[in-house]
Amino acid sequence: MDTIVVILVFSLLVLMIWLRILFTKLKSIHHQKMEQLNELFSGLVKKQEMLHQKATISSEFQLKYKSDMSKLSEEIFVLQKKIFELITKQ
Amino acid sequence: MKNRYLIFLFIPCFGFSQDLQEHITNLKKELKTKPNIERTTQLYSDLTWDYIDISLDSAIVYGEKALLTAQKTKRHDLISQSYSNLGGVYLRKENFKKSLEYYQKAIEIRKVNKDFDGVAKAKINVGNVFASQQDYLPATTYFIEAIDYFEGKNDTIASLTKGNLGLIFYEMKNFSKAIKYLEESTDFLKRNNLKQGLCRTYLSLGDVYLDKSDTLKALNYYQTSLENCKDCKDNLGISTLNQRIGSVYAAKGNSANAKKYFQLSEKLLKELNSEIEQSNLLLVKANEFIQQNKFNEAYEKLLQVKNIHETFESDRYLLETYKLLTNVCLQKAMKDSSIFYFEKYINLKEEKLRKSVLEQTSELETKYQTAEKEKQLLQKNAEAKQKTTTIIILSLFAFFIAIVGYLIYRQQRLKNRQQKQEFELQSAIAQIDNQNKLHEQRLAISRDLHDNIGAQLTFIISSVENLKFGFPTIEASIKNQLTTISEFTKTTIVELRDTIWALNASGFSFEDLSSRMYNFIEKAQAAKENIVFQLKVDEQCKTKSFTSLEGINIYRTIQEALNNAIKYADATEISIHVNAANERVNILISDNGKGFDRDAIELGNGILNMQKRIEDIGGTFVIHSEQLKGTQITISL
Repeated sequence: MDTIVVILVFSLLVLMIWLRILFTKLKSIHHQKMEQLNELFSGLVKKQEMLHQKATISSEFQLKYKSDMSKLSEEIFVLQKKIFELITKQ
Repeated sequence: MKNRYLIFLFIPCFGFSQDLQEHITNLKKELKTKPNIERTTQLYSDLTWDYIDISLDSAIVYGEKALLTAQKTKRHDLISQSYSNLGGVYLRKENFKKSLEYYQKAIEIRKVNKDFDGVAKAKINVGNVFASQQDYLPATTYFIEAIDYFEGKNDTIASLTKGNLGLIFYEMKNFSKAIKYLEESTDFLKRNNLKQGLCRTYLSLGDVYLDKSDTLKALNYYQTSLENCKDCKDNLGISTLNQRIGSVYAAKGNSANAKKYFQLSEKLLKELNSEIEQSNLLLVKANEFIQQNKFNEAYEKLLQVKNIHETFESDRYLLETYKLLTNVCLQKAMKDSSIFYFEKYINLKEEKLRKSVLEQTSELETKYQTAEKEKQLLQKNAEAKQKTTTIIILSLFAFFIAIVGYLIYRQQRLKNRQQKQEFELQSAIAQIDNQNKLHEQRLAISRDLHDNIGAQLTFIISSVENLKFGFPTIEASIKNQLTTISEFTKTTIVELRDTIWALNASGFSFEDLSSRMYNFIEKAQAAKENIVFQLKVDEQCKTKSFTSLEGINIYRTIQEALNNAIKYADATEISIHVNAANERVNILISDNGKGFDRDAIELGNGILNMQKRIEDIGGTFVIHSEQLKGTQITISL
């Protein structure tokens, strides 16, 4: 009886210690994983920021290009008008 | 019959030389003065021992008083001594059970208080009790234990105890061993000149030799003992020895000498006023008369003995007296008296036997009940202990299981929390990754579009140049219009290239920006040869990096500022100076043109756009201009 009690108590103690070690290990693994994920996340955020900036540059150019094309169309219209006037005179 | 074992009993003894009655009177007188409690206890103890030879009942009364007062003092030595005194009195009264009980109590108290000397002395007394009951084995054991203890520590007591052991062997008729121990004791006492002890050992040796029918040696020892008793004025001893010597002479047929010694003994006993000792002498005399067929004299003596012992209720002596009286009455033809004493003898013996049986039965019953109770008590104790143990074990288990349960729960909770955190972060990563992919796709499409735009613009420029080249005689207004279209398209292509430059680079340094600025300045210089351009970048700023948006905004702002200075200010000197101060980068663009009054003119889109671009990237834009004093633009990042 005494031996069984001692064995059980000892086993519970061992279990407790094992659980405690496991707990610490889990925490450590999670911490490492979270660090990796956070690094990945911050890398992706930087990349997104960069892409966003590039998109801004691109869209700015497109707006400018649109306005430039509209001005070019007006200039071509004036040119066509002048050519038609010249042909009419001739 | 003699009570030999009391010879070496350890009792507080003041000696027999002093008259008992006188001593008792003195003690009682002192008691009346009401001394302190310790002294009172001592006085009661002394009275107990004085009365032991006069009245055993009185001795018991004083013994109990001594015990009561001793208990009030709370001194273990006095309490144990009082118990021991009572044990001695009860031993004399032949109540061995009570005697043993009191001696055992004395032993217990002394053991608790580590009074090992006292324990050993009490063991000798217990040995005497067993010896008096003719229970020789435990008696021998106790004596040997005491001898072992006292040898080397107190040789006198060891020697006296050896005398006691010798008497036990004498009782067992082992004369050689009895003589050996008694002689060992005698040798020691002789060496140390302890006459009181010698009185008794010589007396005992005389008894042994008398039993061995060696009357010569017996007489010799008795005489030596008598001399010692006389030296230490032990009147009781002297009386006893006179009695013994008288007996030896009587046995030898020397009646004259026998009578002389008996008379001496009688005289001393009367002086001592000890009725018990007198009765012993009377009994011896009665025996002598019976042997001489003097039944009338023997009858008289026996009646005296009977009266004394009936008073003292000494059954042992009474039995012997009744037995002798039966015989004497029969010899005297007093049949009724003989029958009467015989019946008395039988009744007393039966009563004694009955008492003994009752005592034994009661003792056995008590023992049985005690054993039963002890057994029950032990069982209860064992049960209680087992219950307590079970409760402790269960509590311990519950405690451990609770801890283990809590640890498992905590672990599971931690796991869930960790999984949730990881899942949330992974989801955010996946989302941002998707968004990035989408952005990349959009940028890829934009790049394709830019390529197409570049190709289309190049086609337009080429077509316009072909037209100009194919029709050299073309009207001037049309030619100018074609030139305007060509220039406009070229400007758009430059903007496209700048945009592609910004899109392709992930980041810029001032060095990259400087080389781009140099290209631009070179082209401007080619167009406006009269303008002196100056670009100066401090070394510490060259490594400063920017994002593509910051880079393109800074580049476009500087470009716009230079264009303004070239187109509207009529400047001849334009300088760009980049330096670092207070962890910030400052860009100063200045010209020596005609300047403008900020209050007088309305700012155009160009300046507002520059300000917006710089503010968008977290910098400050300041423009300063005065009429004819040029313009200074300060950009701080």
